[in-house]
Amino acid sequence: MTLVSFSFVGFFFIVLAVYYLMPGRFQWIVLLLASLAFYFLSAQPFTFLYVLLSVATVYWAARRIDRLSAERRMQPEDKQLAAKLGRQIKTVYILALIIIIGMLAALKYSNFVLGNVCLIAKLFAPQTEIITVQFAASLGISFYTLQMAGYLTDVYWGMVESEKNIARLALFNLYFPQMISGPINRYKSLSGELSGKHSFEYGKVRSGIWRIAIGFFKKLVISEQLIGAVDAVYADTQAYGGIFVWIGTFLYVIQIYADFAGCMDIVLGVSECFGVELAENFKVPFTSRSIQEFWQRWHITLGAWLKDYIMYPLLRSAAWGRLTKKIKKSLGKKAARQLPTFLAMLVLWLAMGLWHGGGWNFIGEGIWFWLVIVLGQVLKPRGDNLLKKLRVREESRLWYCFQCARTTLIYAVGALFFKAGSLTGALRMLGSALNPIRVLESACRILPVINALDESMGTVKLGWAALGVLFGFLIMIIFGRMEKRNRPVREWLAEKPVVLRGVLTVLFIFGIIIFGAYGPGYSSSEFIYGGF
Amino acid sequence: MEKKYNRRVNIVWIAVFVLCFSVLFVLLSYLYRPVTTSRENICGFYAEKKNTLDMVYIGGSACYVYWEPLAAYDKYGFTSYNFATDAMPPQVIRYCMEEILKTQSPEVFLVDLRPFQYGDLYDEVTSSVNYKREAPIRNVTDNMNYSVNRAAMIENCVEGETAAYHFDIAKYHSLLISLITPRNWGYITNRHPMRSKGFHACESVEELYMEDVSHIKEKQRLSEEMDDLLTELLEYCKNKEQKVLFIVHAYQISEEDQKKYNYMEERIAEYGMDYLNTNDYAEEIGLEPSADFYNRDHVNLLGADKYTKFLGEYLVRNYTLPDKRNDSAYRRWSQEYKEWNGRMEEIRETLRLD
Repeated sequence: MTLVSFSFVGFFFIVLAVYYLMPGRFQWIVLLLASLAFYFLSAQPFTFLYVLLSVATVYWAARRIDRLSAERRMQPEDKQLAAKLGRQIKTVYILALIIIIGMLAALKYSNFVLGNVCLIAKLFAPQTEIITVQFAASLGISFYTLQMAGYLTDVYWGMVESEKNIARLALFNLYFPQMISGPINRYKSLSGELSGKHSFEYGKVRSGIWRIAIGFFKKLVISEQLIGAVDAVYADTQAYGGIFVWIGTFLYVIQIYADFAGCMDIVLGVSECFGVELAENFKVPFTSRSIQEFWQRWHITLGAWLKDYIMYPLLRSAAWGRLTKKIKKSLGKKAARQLPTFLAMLVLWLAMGLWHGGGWNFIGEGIWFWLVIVLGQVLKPRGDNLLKKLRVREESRLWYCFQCARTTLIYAVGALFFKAGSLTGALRMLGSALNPIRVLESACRILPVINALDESMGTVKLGWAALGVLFGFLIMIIFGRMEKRNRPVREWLAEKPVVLRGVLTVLFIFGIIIFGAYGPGYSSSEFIYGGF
Repeated sequence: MEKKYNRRVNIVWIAVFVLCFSVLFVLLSYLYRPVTTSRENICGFYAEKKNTLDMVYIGGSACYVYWEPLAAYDKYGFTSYNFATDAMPPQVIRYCMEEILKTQSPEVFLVDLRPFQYGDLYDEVTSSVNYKREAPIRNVTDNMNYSVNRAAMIENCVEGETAAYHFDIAKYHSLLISLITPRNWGYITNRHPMRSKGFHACESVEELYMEDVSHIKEKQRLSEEMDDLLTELLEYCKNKEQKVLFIVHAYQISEEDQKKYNYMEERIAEYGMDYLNTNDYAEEIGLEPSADFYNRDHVNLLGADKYTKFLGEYLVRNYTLPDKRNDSAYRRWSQEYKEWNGRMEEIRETLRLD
């Protein structure tokens, strides 16, 4: 069951009705049962074992850490016992992390590791064959593993108390709206929301449903319509080199944004209907002045998680402290301030790349963004000087537009790595896109290629798709502008007279029905981030 | 107090919104549906006045090219309609009867048996057996009004994912041209008068060699699926206590087909229902293989004229069908016959010249 299917819409409304008909204290049970049903309707049932193992491990570890910590607090004067308990706590924490992250690694990165090991072996024994294994990972494993690891770390750091009820912890892990594509929530903020009592609020449910409709719009009218053109370019890089790489990549940027942001709108809208507020994952990212700002607006919860649980702890660690001292000694104060941070950032970006999948192209994507950010920081003083000399006003509209375009271009290159499927493929495409002769040659072939593409798309005609996307893109820009001005379209709509509201809602939904890419003849509506 | 009032107002608004949205959604779905022969027939049926039909003919394309309801009315005085769609699969027939019985109470149903003969044949183009193919099923489901009967039909007749059958707009929404085609707007309510009462004339001739297989009395059992579907239909008709004549049209029938029909005849007789294989009366009907056929499965207009004459007489002899020619309420039928016959005369002339 995908989030954009008739069955999900039916499922959601049934769960919503049952949820609000239940007394408040049982509402979380409705959500848990719905989440279990959603899992079994969407994934291979046996993969639920991985989820169970993850929940059981984290539950046991968190409870144990809590008990050991309490014991340690009770006898603060006994230093020896405190040290022993500290070691035990650490062991339990690391063991649990190894189990849940090991599970993620085994299920998602085995082929990447095996492939590379075989490639190295091939250097010494050319007859070595590449070995691959087939594992079915559980639904949303990359998301819930981070969520559980975050919760466990919070318990380990003493920031939250461990959950006493395993079923409630299971709900935190399995909560069905966020199961497939996140956002990655923190236990501290979500557990209360999930276990709280929620009475039916018309305004909230209405707003949630509007948000779901906006999500459907982004996904079906924009993202799904672009699949044909984008996939055609990326499937045949020989035929679609030069300028087509740029066209395909920029279309892919629009596609992935509409897909992921649309998915988040559905997820957050569904959750809003239940009265459960989830963390926002997008804040109009293409209005960012820099790539750093972009990543504070794009997949916010992943970036924040990696910072809070990887980068900052690394910077605070004793090993990093020793490294900083060494750098200070040998390279000076300035380098000691910057280099350890850049190194920690490299770890963050490698983790970011690897989280997206086992492949050198994902690592390449991470390194690309890291490189741009580091260069940006290193060259900032020179850049500022140049702007002064050129008398560019930083607050001017033109400069702002330039910065946004620059950010989009940088992201597009990263997206190319993401989409290309392999590092060599990505580099080949990039080479073709940067080769001026290839760009000129391909520019002369635009019309015939568009015609051929139209033919290859079968029943889904390019002109029709383009019209739908254009319509959708314009609406998305309008929504984005409203959001940027802190007046999201839903708030604007809520203030309108009821009849106008109704008419606009009907028109909007009919727009999705007419211009959306769904039903027979289209590929199934899986989300790009649904595979993680 | 105010909270309670607000809640009531909200409930009213939600109800109004859901109602308006549902109506508009249904209209948009109907607008998108392609106007095909099958659609013309079904929408034409919906446009017929309540309880005005004495006979309804259900089946595949053979029905709508064989039976001329207006000619039968002119000659015998009873009213009839072809509730027929292209390659109608056998499993939908009972739901079609249910749909018809919502607005009509015909004296007799004529049910085409050919769907049971071709239902389990393998179609190489779609790599599927005929009765499971999407297009024939959609010819029925995508032309019917949204209703519980339609939903039940889809759930029981379609294998696999059914959502895109229930909401057929999922299939047709990219046909933007439908939104600006005046003809489609005529079908926006899914009711549109069908002036020939579901008849479509075939306008060319194919010379055939017709073998007389009426002497073959052997029986060949239907496949398990077809047999079950036939049983299901017979049970349904029996429970409804509805007069039904199961009929086989005259066509270039093979020995194997004849054996299958012999088997069906036996099954139908077990339920005390009527059966007629018009291939056994080819001579009496007067069908000429060199002039009256459009292809091996269908007659042309000249063949339809002869077939209608034969079957009309048969029905009048065997069923109590009223003569409504002098009933002022049915004057429209006479008028429609004249107009229709005028159009058909031109085709007859061309066919005779051929």
